[in-house]
Amino acid sequence: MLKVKTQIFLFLYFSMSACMTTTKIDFKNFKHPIIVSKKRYPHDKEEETRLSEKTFVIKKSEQKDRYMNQWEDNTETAPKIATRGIKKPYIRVNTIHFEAHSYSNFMGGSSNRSSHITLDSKLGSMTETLGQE
Amino acid sequence: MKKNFLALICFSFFISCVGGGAKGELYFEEAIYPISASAGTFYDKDGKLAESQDYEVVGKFRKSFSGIAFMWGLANLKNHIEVGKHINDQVAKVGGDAVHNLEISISSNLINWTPVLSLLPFWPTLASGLVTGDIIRYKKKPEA
Repeated sequence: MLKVKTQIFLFLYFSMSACMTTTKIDFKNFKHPIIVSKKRYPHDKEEETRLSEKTFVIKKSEQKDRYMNQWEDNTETAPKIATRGIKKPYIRVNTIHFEAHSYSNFMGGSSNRSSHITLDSKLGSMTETLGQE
Repeated sequence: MKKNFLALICFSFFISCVGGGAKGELYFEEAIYPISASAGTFYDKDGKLAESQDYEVVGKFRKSFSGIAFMWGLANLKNHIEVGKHINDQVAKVGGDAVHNLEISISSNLINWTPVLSLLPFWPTLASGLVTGDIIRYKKKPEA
C-alpha cells in the first residue's frame, strides 16, 4: 500500500498530465485522394505539369489554458475549397508538420498546452494542367 | 509545522514544473505503396476512382512516433521522422496494395510534466503521436 503523500503526488501528477491536448487529423469524409506518399502508379508519368504551383495549408491546432481555448481547423473546408471546380482532383501533401507543448505557469498552478498538425499541400488533377497557370 | 512546510515546498516544486514539448516533420518518402489520407483511393488508368467494392480492407497500419527536444522544448532535434519503411513492412506482411484513411494524432508526453527534473535544461521533452491507416487490397489490380 502506498503512503498517503505518494498517493497525493501520483494523483496530482496524473491529473495534470490528463490535461494535455491531443490533435487528431483525418479525412474520412473527403472522397478525393489526399496523397502523402511519393509513390504513384506507373501510368501516372506527367504529374508535375498537372500539379498546381501554389501551395496551401491544411491545419488543425488547439491551444488551451485556464482562461482560453483557441482552436483552428480547416480540415473539412480547405480540401473542399481547393478542389472545387477541378476535374478528377487530388491533393498531394509535401510535408506534415507536428508540434505539441505543455507548460505549467511558474507557481501558478495553471497549465498551457497546445498541439498542432499542418499539411503543406498542392492541388493536382488527373486531366487538367494546373502547373502552367 | 516543519512537516507542513516541507510538504508546501514539495508542492510548490511540483506546480512549478515547466514542461516542454517538441516539433518535427513526418515523411513517407521511402514508402513503396501509395498512401492516401482520405477515404478516396487512387485513380486507375481510365481515370476512375476506386470504389469501396473495388477493394477490401486487409489490415490496420499503426505506428507511434516521438519528436524530441531539450531546454524545455526550445532546442528541437532534427525530428525528421520517416514512416514509409514501417508502412512497407506492415503492408507486405498482410499482402496489401495501398493504405488509405490515414489518421495522425499528436499530443505532448507525460515525461514533460516530470516534477523537478523538467526544470533541468538537458531533460528531454517529447511530442508523441500515432499514425494509423487501413491497409487495402484491390480485387482487380490497377493497370499500368
